[in-house]
Amino acid sequence: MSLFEPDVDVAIIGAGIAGIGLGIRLRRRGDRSFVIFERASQPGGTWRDNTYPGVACDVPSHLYSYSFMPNPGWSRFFAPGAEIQSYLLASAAEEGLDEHIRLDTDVTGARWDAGRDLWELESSAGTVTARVLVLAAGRLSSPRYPSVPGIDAFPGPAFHSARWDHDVDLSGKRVAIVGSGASSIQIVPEVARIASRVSVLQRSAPYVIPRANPEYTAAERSLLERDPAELARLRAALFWRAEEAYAQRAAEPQALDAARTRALDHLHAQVADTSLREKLTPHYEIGCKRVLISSDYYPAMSQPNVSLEASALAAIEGNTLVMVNGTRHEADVVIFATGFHAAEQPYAETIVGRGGVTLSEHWAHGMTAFASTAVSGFPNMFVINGPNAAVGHNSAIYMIEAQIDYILGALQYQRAEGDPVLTVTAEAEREYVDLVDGLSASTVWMTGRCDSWYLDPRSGRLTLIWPDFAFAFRERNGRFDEHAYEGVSRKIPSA
Amino acid sequence: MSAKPTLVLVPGLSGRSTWDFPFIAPMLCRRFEVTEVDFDAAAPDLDSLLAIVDAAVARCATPPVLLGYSLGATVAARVSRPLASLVLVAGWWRPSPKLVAFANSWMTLRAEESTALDEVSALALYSAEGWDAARALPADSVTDALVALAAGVDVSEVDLSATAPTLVIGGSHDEVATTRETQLLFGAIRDARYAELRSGHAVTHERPAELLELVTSFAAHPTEFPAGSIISEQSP
Repeated sequence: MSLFEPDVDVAIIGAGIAGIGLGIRLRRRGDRSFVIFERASQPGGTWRDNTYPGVACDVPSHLYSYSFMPNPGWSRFFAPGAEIQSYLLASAAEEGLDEHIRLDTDVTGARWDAGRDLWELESSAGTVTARVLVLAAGRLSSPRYPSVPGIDAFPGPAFHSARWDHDVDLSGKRVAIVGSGASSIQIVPEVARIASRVSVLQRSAPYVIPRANPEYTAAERSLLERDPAELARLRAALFWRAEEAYAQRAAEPQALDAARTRALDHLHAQVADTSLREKLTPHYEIGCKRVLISSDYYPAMSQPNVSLEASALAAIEGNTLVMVNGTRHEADVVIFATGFHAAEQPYAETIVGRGGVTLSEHWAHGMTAFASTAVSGFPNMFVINGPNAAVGHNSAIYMIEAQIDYILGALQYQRAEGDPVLTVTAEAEREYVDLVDGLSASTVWMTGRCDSWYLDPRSGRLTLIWPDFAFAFRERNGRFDEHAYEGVSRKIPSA
Repeated sequence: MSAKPTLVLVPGLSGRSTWDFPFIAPMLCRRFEVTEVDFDAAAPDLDSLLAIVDAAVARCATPPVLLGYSLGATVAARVSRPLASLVLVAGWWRPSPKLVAFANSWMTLRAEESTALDEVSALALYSAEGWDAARALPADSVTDALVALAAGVDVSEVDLSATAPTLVIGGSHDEVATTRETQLLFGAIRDARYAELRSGHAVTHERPAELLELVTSFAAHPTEFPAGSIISEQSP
C-alpha cells in the first residue's frame, strides 16, 4: 500500500466504448474515485469521430451494445453511427459518468513513480496522480494518411474519413476517395449520389458480402422492451451465430469455400461489367483482411459517374492524384479513407513504466501483454483494445467487457489484499505471447497472402487480432488471476 | 510438444459424422485428435453400433472424450471402456412417443416416396428459431435403418452407475428425443451435469458454436461443475 495518497484511485484515458463501459461498472460497484480523460469535447470515441455520410456499424446492434445496458429501441439490425453515439452518450449520462469525465483534456504523458507507487499523469489541465492507470485510448482512433509527396499541397479540401468536414459541399464536385476498406465502402454510395465524379483509388479489392438491414418494427421493439429475457435471447442467438464465422478465420477449408463463394456470388450478381468485376475481385484469401458488408457498394461502383482505379496513390500534384500505375485523376476534393495507426499506437510513446522504459520501447517489435491486458514493467496499468484483443467476426464490445471484467477482478483483489502493486511477470507475458503465436500460425491472417493492418510490419506477428473464438477470449482472459504477477507464487493455469 | 488429447464423435440418425458435425468436428480438430465414427452398416443393430464405437475408443492412444449425438448418445452411454469424459448431446433415456411417431412417419413417407419427407423431417428435427439452419436428413438405407432402430433404443436398461464424468446436453425445443427424456439421462447418470441449448433436436446444426464452447470447456475441466450441476446458459 502506498504511503502517498493519489489524487484519484483509477485514471482512465479515453471516453469511448471502453472508458464509458469501465466507468459504468466502477460506479455500479460503488467506486467514485476515478476520472476518465477525454481529449475531445464529447465522449463516444469511434462513434463521435466517424460522422461521414453512411456511417454505420457492421455488427448487429443488439450485440454491439453493452450487455449491462440493453437497448430495446435499436432502429435497425445494423445501427447507424449517430444512433450508437446517442446510445453511448445516454449510457454515460444515465449512469452518472458526467462528473467523472474530463472533456477537452489531453493526457500528454504518464509516468510510473516507483518511489510513491503511483502514476503521474501530465495533461492539458495539469498533473494528476492515480493509483491505477487504464489505457482505453482506442484501437482505431489516430487517422493514418498515405505518405506521398504533395499531400499537404492539394489546393482543395482534403480530409480523413474520421475527420469529416461537413462544411464542404460535395454536390457537383470531382471527388477522389483514397482507400477501399470498411469506411470507404460506406462513403462511396453516399458521395456518388451527389458528386459529379467519384474516383475510388484502391490498393487491393475487399471481399464484400450482402448486407440485409431490416428495421425493427414497432411490435418487435415493444416486445423487447416488455420482455427483457427475449432481448437476452436475441443477443445470445446473434452472438453464437457470429461465432460460427470464426471457422473461416481458422482457415477451415469448407468454411472458407462457402464464405468466398458467397462474396464472389454477390460480386457477380451486382456487377455485370467484366472488367470492373475483375478489378473488384480480391487476390488473397477471404478473411485475411476485414470482410466487408454492403449491398450498395457494388451498385455504386457501376454508376457512370464512378470510376475505380486499381492502383495505389503515388503522389499529389496540384489537383491531380498520380497513381503508381501512372494514371492521373483530377479532383476538387480528396477524402482519405485510409484507416488508422493500429499496430503502433501513438499513445505508447507517452507512457513511461518502471526504469524509464516507454511503452513504445517495450512494444518495439509489436504490442504484447499478458491476457491482452497487463504489460510487464508497467505496474498497476491495464490496457483495453491493445494487443490481440480485436475480433473481426464478432462484437468488439464483448471483448471490451471481458477486459473490463479482468480489470475489475484485479481491483477487487487489490482491495482485498491491501492494495499491493500489481506487475505482471515478463515470463507470464512471454508465455501468453507464445500461446497467441501458436494459435495464430494456421489462421487466415497468417496464411491468406495479404497485407493487413492486423499484422505488425516490424515483426510480421499478428498483434491486433485475438486468434480464436470470442468466447475463448473471455474464458481465458475475462478473469483476473494473481498468479501471473510479481510477488505472487507462480501457478499459471495450463492451456 | 505433447500429443493432443483424443476425442471420438458418434453421429445420430444420419449415421454420418460429416453430416452431423460439420462445424464442431473441424473446430475440435484444432485441439484434439478427433476420430469421426460412421454407421454405414446396411442392417445395423445396437450391438453392431456399439462394437463400432467401442473399437474407435479402443484405438485411441489415451482414454478419449466420447461425444455421442442423438442415437449416437444412446450408444456412447453403453461404452464400458475407460474414458476421459462423456458428452451426450440430445440423447434419450427411453424412446418418447414422439420419437416413435417420428420414426413411423419417416418409414411411411419413405415407403410412399413422398415429396413431403424432407419438410416433415426438418419440421420435427429443427426448432423455429433454428429454422434457417434446417436441412433435409439424407434419405437412404442407412438413415432408414437407424431411424427404425432409434425408436426402440432404451437406455433405461443400461447400467449407468460407473460412467466417466458426463455432460448431458439437451435442446430446449427438442420434440424428437424430447427435452424431458434427455433430462432423464442427467437424472440417471451419477456423475453427470446438465446444460441446455435453445434448439430443437438438431443441436449440432442449430447452435454449433455454443455447443463447441460447452464441449471444449467441459473437456478441459470435466469436474469444474460437480455431479448434479445444472450449467446455466452464458450471457454474452
